[in-house]
Amino acid sequence: MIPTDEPCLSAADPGSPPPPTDLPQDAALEMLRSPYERSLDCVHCGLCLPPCPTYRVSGHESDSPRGRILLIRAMAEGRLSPDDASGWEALDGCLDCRACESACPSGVTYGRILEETRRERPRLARGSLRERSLRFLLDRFIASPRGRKAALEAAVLLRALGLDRLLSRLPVLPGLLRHALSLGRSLPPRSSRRPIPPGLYPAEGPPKARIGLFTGCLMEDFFGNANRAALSLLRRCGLEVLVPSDQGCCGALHLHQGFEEACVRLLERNFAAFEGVDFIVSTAAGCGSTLREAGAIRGNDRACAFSSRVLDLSVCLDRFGPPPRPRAVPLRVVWDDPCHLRHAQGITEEPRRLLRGIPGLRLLEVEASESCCGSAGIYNLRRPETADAILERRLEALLGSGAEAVVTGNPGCQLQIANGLRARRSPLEVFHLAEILERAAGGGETAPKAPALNGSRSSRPA
Amino acid sequence: MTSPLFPGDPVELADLLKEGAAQGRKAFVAGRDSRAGFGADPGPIDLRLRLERMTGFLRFSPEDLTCSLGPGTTLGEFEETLSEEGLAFAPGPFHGCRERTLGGLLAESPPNPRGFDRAHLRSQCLGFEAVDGRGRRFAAGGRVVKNVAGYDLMKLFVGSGGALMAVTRLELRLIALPPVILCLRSDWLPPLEAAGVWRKLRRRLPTPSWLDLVLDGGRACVELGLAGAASHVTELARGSGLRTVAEGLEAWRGGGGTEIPAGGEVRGRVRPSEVGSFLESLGGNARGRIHYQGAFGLEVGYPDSLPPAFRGPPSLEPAAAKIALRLKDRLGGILAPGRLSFRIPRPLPERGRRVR
Amino acid sequence: MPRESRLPVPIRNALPEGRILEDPATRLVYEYDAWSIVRNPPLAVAFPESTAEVRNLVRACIESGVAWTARGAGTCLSGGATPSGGTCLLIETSRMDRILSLDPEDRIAVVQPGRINLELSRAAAPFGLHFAPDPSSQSASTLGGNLAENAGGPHCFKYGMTTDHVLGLTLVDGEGEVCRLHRDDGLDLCGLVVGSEGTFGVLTECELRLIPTPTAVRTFLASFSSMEAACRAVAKIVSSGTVPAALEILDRLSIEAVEASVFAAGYPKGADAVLLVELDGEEDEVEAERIPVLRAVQSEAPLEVEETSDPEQRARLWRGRKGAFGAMGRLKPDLFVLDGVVPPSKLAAVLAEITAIGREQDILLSNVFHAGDGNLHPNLSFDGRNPGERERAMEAGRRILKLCVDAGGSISGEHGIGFEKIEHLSYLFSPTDLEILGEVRRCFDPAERCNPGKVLPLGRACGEGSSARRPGILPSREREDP
Repeated sequence: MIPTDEPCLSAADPGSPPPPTDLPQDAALEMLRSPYERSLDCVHCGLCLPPCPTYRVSGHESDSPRGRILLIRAMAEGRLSPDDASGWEALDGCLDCRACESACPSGVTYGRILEETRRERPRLARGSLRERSLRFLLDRFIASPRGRKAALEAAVLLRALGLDRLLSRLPVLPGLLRHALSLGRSLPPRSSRRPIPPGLYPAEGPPKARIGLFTGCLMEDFFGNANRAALSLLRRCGLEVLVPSDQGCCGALHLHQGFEEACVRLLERNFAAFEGVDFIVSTAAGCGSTLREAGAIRGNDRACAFSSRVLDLSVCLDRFGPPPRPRAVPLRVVWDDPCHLRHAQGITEEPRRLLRGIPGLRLLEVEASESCCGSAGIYNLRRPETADAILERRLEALLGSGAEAVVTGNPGCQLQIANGLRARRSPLEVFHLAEILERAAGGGETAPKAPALNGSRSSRPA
Repeated sequence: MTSPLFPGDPVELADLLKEGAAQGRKAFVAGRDSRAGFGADPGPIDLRLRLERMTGFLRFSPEDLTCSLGPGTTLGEFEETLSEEGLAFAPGPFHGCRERTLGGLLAESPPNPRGFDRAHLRSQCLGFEAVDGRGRRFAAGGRVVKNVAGYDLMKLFVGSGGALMAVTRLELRLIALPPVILCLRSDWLPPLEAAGVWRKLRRRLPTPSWLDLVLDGGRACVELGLAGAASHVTELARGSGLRTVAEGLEAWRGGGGTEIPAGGEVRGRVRPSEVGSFLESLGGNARGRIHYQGAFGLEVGYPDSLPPAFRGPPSLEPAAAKIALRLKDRLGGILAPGRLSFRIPRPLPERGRRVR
Repeated sequence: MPRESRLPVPIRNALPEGRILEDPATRLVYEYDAWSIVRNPPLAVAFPESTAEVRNLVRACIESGVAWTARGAGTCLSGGATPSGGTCLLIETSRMDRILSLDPEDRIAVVQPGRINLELSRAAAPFGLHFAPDPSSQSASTLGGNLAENAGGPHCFKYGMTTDHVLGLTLVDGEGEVCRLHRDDGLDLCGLVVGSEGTFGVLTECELRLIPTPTAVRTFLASFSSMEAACRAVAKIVSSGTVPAALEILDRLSIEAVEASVFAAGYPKGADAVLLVELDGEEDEVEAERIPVLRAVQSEAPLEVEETSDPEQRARLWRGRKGAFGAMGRLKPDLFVLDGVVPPSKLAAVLAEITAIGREQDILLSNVFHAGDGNLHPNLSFDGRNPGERERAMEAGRRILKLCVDAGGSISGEHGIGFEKIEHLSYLFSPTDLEILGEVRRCFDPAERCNPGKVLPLGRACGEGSSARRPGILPSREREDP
């Protein structure tokens, strides 16, 4: 029969663990007060499981939003030690794609629960070597333009010497580096990495409003062409565009990893840089989502005023445009919803509407278009195996759709999908929304190909 | 042959069975015994019981579309009362079964034209009170159409052939009688041709009331039942290419069709896509009906000509047979010892386990 | 495997490495399903991928004297997928989610139990077919779980419960034997297994019926100034012979909660009840059926009637119904959903009494329900942190279920008994009834190791020595005890 050290409990058994809402008064709870309070909205119904990409890969409840919320609650209640590795392993596994928030019937603010918990991690758990190295990486190579430049130059050099391929074949290379190298291969040519010169660009026709263009870090480095296309499109819509010289990283990656104060510092700089514009437009869904949440994160009037003026490029073009689209683009395309557009900002219709208006273009819908591609900020560097498995599902859908091109609105997704397609030797091309729209608008004879695909030095900037 | 006893209420029935069990007798409980000689031989019986005194409506709630019945109520009186109230029993038509009791009909669960999906006989029984083969009185289910409290013993009763329990009170689901009912037929055709018509109509009509492939030796026809709102039914009838042979209540009760009844002794299920090869294997040797989802009841001239899967008692794999025999032993007690017989195919070697 | 594994060796060896987890986080997240009252962290969690692997696991459990509970997505509302106890192995079927075959002409699909309900329908959609049972959790709940619980949903009023759509199944029974059950006429073991809440064995394959997807759908929304009027309208629709695909009612508090939430559907404020009716089928069928529906609704002096077949407008009308559970969940930290059934003719009277019980127990109580079949879902919203509130909610729940039974109904229409309603079984069943249920269960699982403690109280002597249970069943059953 059943061993008796822990007897089977029945419904009436008083030995059941305490109900969730008996507040234990200890330190962990104090630190996790805010995520804990937010977690009380969760009724444990499980509707967030199928949309969660990590759950779909492993089938483990601990890789699901419901499971992670329960782990955070358990830490706050003192039922799970904050030092327990399996708990953090599960929390680190989250992509922060927020697909669960779209599915949640109770409106649980899962993204904030996770970010606030990650924020408290250094105070909760011992051994933060991982934290420190991650922080170092983000500060030096993402948020710092100089560090970013240096890293890119190094990658370009490696590629030029053909060393990247050689290195990536070394069996001893850690997965993270191997992936970083493969991203390096996606680097566009130096010519298209030319940043947009700061300044005020006039509108075509009388200006309807003044836009501040947020150029982003990855976006500017990898997809400068798309930023330039966005600039042109905004002007075509009768918008005056300011590209401030003192703008900087939005801090999204810091925020997702729980480095909230660093994120706030970066945000503050942007509050100042974008003083005086009517709207701030982001070409990257990830940045846009953080900028739009600045108010909620910072909680003061200035931040809220800033946040309320942030628009994704697609929303701005849809509202003030649409831009003229005289030229046919005879392509079958799929719009790939970036998670931080679809789930974090609830934007699905605007980009589709803009694409449908392009003559000759056929917009296809694929199954599970709401599912993450596995890029998720720097997730593909932290968890390459899971990211690959998630990407695999996404690629299956894209390749089975009969599309000739994929259009998206976030640099991470664009890199991830392009890399995956290249590994499969697929002819599918990947574009930023701005590139396709600009091509339809008649700009740039040589509408830039997705750099990830041809990567050749011969392609010319628009 | 022992003469039957007629218990008048559940207590008497329970006492008789309890006593019989104590004396090691073998019992058989029937409704009116109108099906004596059919089905698997119940074996040597020395206690015959008939429930024809336990009859009539014990509760009638037309507004909830439910009722309670004594098991000895005949299908004829049941359907009569229902149609007076504008109500109906979803399964059927049960050709030539007006004198049969509802308890017996449910226990046998013969295939019938409308008896698929929600209109299957086993979905009509919402609950019951019964006596098991040791004389224990018990109840299961309830009176409401949606109920998952306790195990679904109603499924265990319907189709058990009287081998597990004798029901003393039935709770049944009813439906409103559809406003318009039509029965339509094709001409007699060569069986394979009729099967072609049947398959084509099957694909075209998502929700017929019934759609039978009627076999009569070397010929066959298609019989279609339609029920519902007038305009819709007329539209479907027009598009079917069949001719109307009966309407209204007459059609509902199986009138106007062929003389070939449902519920033949050789029973099973054939996949609709495989009906052609099934007909070929019958070789023009069968009379009966194949229903919308492939369940059939046939009379077969030379049973040996049937494909082995349809010959003799149903086949049950060893693990399932083990469970059925346990149920028979614990619940069935002294009831119908010969019933619930099945062939047990030789167990397959357990590959996965051995290799390890 | 970690060195300090608590698992018996046979279980550890039953699956390939890495598919049995016993770390603290895993054990913690599997401690309960969507019913939060009882929580038992399992001994470990196993992730089998085939019938053979489940059989190996079950045999290893038997050898080691360990009980097991099977779980799909853990959306059960009665604790059916909550581990039976701390020494219970949880068998998670999330990795058994393949469609093994799908035959469009015969309209039959064979699937593994971890397949999500909606994703079977999605796979069948290109053939114009779907799987009819649609529990509210259908976007997450697995078919294995649906079968185990005999799940319902709004559309089961027309199409029947899960059991009406099962053609066969494969079960690894309580003795670790693989049992294939087909549903031909004759003894229906398959039907007995559906709804047995995992206490007969672990499902490893399901053969299911698909039905043609209706080509036309029309949704009606009618609001009424009194709940009685809404219930009368339902009775008139049902007795007209029309069988709507769904008949749903929301009461005043639900309407207010929904309209104050992100699910606001534009339900008229100030209405006492909102009735949603959906007709489906072929175009002219729906066209013909709308007349009796409108006649029934109009005869009860509705405040407002809306009718649409536009997919977006239909989605809007349904949004409030589908979001009601979530909207109620936000009113208070805790939510307790009941699942009583009453004969439809008693709906109005029972609802009035339920409201009175909520008031007496001082608990926020709202009703969203399947009116066609009388399946009530009173939602009790409360804050368990306030002293006494949880107890009052439980007492209200108990009284409501008793009320349903006294009205001739049942304690569960579709959520199952699980852990949750074991103590309420005595409202419906006598000790002998329970004894028989126990015997039937032991025909499948003689040692009672399959999900013990669910459906029936633990132990062989269930019903026999428990003097606490009231002997006999309802007086209204008109059964005189010998």
